[in-house]
Amino acid sequence: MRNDGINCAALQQAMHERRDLTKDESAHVAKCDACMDAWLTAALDEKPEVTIPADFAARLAAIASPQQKQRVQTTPRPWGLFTAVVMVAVLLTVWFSGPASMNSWVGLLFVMLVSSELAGLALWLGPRWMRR
Amino acid sequence: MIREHQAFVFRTLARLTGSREHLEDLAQEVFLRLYRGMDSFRGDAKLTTYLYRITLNVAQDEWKRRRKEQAHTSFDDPDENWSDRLAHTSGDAEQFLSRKQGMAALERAIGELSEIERQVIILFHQEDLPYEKIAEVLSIPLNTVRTHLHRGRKKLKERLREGRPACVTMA
Repeated sequence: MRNDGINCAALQQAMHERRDLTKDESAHVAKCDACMDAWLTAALDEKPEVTIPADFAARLAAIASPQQKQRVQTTPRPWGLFTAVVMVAVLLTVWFSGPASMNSWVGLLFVMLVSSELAGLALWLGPRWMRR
Repeated sequence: MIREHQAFVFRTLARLTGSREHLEDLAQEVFLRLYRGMDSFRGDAKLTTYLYRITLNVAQDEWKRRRKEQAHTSFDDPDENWSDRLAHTSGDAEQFLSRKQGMAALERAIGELSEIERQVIILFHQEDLPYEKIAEVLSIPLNTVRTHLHRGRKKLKERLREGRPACVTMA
């Protein structure tokens, strides 16, 4: 309590209860750090009143759905996916019908490695491209 | 999802932008950005964290847009001073006693804080988010959250005492 006769605890309780302050109480708050702190906390904790239209969610859903459809329609062709598939086919063709040197175990390993990498890429990126 | 979080989005936008103007449009922008970003959302963060980030970004964009607009207005019409227009116009002490006036003064004082201080204060006080969550949303260390919160509150108290946005200072 300061010498202005105002009880800080009671005042802070009043702030907590969101009561309007009297002139003397307000003057006290301006001088008393603890009360100012309490006033600030109470004021900041208070959620501002906002008006949310009742049909906000429904309207938003209506806007979002056509956008999604439009995005699917304008999806560019997944050239990366096509390229990966073609490259796998070319590599396998080279492996089966290529020169004898390609049929060595080193060549076989190389072709298998590249093929599996490309297939992996296609599997990983394919669904993403298709979804866009 | 929209119904569950729309109150948070509206409230946060209202406090961060300091205005109820275009609130619905801004909230709509938040959810549309979230919707568009769903494809690239990898789930490495919670969806709410992602929504909080988008809300803060939309509020920041709006804030910048208004600043730019204010600058234009001041330039176009030197007699019109925005800070004067926004400042508390009444010197009547009785008016400061009402909670409404106090809250209005506080909102103006919040508007004078830095972007990050405003965000931290609103997420902590208004939305009751813990320090850890705020740090995650803003991608800053935990201690930085504490520092901004402390600094922001200190500035608010100073501003309210100075009476620039007159509030509880009426001695």
